[in-house]
Amino acid sequence: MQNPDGQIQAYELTHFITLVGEKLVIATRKHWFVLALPITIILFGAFVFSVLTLVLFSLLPLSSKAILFTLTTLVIVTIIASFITKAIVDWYCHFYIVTTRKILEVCHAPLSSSKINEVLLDQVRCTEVDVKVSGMLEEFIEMGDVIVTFDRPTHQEEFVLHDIQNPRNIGLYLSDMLESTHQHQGNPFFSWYKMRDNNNNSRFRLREEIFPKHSEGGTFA
Amino acid sequence: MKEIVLLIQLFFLIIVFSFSIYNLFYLVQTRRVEMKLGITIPGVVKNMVAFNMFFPIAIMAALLFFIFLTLGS
Repeated sequence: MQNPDGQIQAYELTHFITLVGEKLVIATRKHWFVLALPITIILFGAFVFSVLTLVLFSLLPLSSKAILFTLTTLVIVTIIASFITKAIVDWYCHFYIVTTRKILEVCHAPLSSSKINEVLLDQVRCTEVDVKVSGMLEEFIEMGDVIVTFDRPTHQEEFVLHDIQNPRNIGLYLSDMLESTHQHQGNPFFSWYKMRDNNNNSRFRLREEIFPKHSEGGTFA
Repeated sequence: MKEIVLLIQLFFLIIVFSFSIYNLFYLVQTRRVEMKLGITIPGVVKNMVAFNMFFPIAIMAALLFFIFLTLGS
């Protein structure tokens, strides 16, 4: 099966493939559209602030209004450029990695925060993959969540790949890969209980009592 | 009025200086994150961070020029 589009290349993720026999399944970032909202807010705020300063400087009886307004605009450009760059870098350094042994969420925001959320797949009991696309816009731009649920009966643990591109393809791909991974690893429940095998090692054994023929009135041959 | 203009210009100078320093640290931290995660941030984004560091310096020069101009007038 081919990898769905919008994925990070494997050579960029060598730092995260650390376990024995571990192979990369999927590595993806959030959809680029998640950048649109913060950038729009920043630009709108800058526009409002520029208009306010223009009005303020026109009201004040200052001699150098044009120079002050130009300087204000330059300062606003500095501020919005910094904020937009921060939004882009934060988006770029936030990605999800699924390997044959674990699922990771890596989120690094330089000078702000750092988070690595990791789930080891051989320590979970059950894995189900759900896809959630909500809203017309998300449907149109193919953006949504892929929810990997562990231990479904108790609903205790969910790993959500938020706002990723092509959630349906990635969800299908992920469920296929996780299933094949479990098949290759043997029993996925190995760490939770010991399986009964057929080599007479089970707890209860059915035995047949064998009586010698002479005890039933037979004669020795 | 001259004092108000000077005050505004000094206020801008402090803001721009702060952003220049912030972007210097941000650039260093971005490189560190790159090395830590083993990823390569695109050159355009890194150039944007570098621009954000150097552009305030140019504005600071302009502000200082206008501050001296205001003081001299």
